Amino acid sequence: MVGGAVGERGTSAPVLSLEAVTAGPPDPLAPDVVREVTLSLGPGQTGVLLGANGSGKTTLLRTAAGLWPLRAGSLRTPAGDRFSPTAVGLVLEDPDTQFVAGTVRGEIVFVLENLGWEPGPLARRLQEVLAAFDLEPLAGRDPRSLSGGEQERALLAAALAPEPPLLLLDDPFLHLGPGAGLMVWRRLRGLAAEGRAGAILLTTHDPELALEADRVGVLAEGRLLAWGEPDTVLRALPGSLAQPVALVLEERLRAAGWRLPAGGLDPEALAGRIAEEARR
Amino acid sequence: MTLRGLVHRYPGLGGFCLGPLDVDGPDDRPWLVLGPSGSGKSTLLRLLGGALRPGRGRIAGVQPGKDAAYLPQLPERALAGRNLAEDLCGELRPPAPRRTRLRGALAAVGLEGLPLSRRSRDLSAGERRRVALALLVLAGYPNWGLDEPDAALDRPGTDRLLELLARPAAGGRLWIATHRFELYAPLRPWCLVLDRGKVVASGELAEILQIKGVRNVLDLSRRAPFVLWNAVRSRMPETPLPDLLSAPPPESARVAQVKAYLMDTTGVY
Repeated sequence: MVGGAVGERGTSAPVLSLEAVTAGPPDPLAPDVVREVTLSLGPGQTGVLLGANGSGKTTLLRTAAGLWPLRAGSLRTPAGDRFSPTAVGLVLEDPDTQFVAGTVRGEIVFVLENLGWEPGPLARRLQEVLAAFDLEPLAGRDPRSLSGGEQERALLAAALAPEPPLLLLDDPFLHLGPGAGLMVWRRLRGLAAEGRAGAILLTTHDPELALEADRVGVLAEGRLLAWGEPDTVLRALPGSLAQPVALVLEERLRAAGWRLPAGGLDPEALAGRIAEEARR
Repeated sequence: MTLRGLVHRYPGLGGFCLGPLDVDGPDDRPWLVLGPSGSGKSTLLRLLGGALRPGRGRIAGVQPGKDAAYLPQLPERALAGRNLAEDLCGELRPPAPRRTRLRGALAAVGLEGLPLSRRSRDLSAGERRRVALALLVLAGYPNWGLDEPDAALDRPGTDRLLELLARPAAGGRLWIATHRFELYAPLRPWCLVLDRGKVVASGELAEILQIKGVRNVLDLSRRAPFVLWNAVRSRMPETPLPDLLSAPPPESARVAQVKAYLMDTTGVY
């Protein structure tokens, strides 16, 4: 598993910083969707935003990307105050409409050529991102002919290719399935920790992904209820959100009279606590 | 309901090929179509729903496109009308159905009383997903192929969807492609597992999950309950413990309790 030792990186200047951000769709008559949201991510840090449907996750990401206007508060990203694909990599929820080229390879080349990459570095980078998302066998296929999960991997590769210092990902593992989604998330976190994927903010409905993040936030009706360490935030999830299996297990064992020692929710920590109590 | 030598190959070099599939499944239970991304789940559902024509082979028991339809992933994206009435009439041939029929279709998917003047983008994601199901009701297809109907729904939205699918609005057959088989266990589904366009296994959920090949294909070892169980097991070296899904437990009562709680979350009872 990756992650953990990010405390020191967290102390440097944030890559993404939202201060009391209020935002909504470009139509000024539409009501505010997110209100007074404050959060930040340092270089190499990964954050996961959980929240029910309609809680404002997508609006927050669109605003952070510079696609939707800020209505109040302040926003700092590597892109400044407008959308810039070199500074902010973005994957939105609608894969079909995001492809421009006839092949997966062409999709990534298109992004890099537009940003003025020279042929040598471009070819190397292309191979790197194809490999990072197991896309080599699909490189010659039309992205529109791929399955949902394969399209998601292709979009992630294209977003990551120009090495943006900030990646904003809106529920990008929907069609990959839980096992494969977790593997891709770990790979992204690994790259972020090595300083090769910038900081990453991800929205998802899968609480298991939130267990493996530096920061977890919970949005409800446009307000950020919490932003902090996964264990702390996940233990206080509102009842309408799915809990990670580790937390379900911990709560059921406690309800059944187990006196589990306090500790973490990651598999090794929880298994250790269970074993300790089981041997008593 | 049978598939005989069913094949579909997408055009182009390296195009994906599904089949040949030879499958005999029950008529009276939902089918869960399982498998990794790119294994052919959506292609099979498209064939059953008549959205694609098989290159070879045949489907017996339903008439794709006549009494069976396919609902794609995230179908609510197509709802772009000025109001629900427009969305619901969108795909139908004229004359437009009467408003009582539109209301009836909404009621069939648990949206009774929702005004036809509402815009779908003002509805919740779960409601929008059910409006998409109402399109199938209106078009008169009793048999539905639903492609990842649970995707991108929060817990209340998922719960409502499952209530609806437990008694499908059209009363016909259901084929559901999903990664989250545990959600559908209460529907007592029959399962078909695909990998790279071929059938790996078929049968009861609890039984197919015992098969090693199926567990690899479905990536079970990376799913939270299995990861946790393996971690607990490895902490108890003095008593060899069986795998999460295997019967009967020689382990201590306390560890059996951990196992039972974890099993619950896998949908295998």
